[in-house]
Amino acid sequence: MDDLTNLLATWEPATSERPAFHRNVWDRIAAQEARRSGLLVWMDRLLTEITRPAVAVAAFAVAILLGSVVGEHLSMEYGTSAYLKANNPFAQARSSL
Amino acid sequence: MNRRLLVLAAIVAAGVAALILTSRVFQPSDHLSAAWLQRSFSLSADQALQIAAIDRQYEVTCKQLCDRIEESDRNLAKLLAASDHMTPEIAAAIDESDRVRTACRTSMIQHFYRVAEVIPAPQKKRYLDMVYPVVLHPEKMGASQFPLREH
Repeated sequence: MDDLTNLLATWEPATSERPAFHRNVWDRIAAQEARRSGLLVWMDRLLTEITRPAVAVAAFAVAILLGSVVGEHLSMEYGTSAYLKANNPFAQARSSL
Repeated sequence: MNRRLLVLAAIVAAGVAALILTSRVFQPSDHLSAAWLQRSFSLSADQALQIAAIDRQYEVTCKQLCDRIEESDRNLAKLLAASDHMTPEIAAAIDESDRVRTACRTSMIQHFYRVAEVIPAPQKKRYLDMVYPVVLHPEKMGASQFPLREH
């Protein structure tokens, strides 16, 4: 056991760390934090812009337009499906079971 | 910060409300299929009335065919559940089931062609493209499924 302790105390790794290893690690951490804070800054800017009356009105208009287009598309899909089902005796037979 | 989030939430709510209102306003009921066709295929009031009349005629046929499908499927399911080998009755029931299905598909396509005759030419192809898959694969739109054996 003492031999092993002595051996471990005197042991040195054969390969040494590359000189730039620590710097690379810190650079990557810094870059990730910068990306994260960039997103927060972007979100913050968006929320600030959205309180401006002109931007808010435009955003409302876009949201309503987008909602209407999606709603219209969904209702068309539903309408097609309902029409085909209403005219298909196979579907009628199944729904009456 | 709170005011900004409030504005954002209001914008999102407006979009969602528009979506719900639009989809509900235009949602057709079963009795309004002619009205739905009128809107979808830009039909005149007169054309919509003609289609409504065709629909009413077909409704009776469709119901009769639906009843025949149910009856033939029930009969076949009963025979299959009571047997572990092929019998002439099972063969006859399969024939009957096929006959009913053929009659259904023929009746459906006849109905769709009658409706298509009323729809203006530019929209006619779009209508037929919409209904062809149902004629090709009617069972995918809801086949009768009876349990063969009780486990």
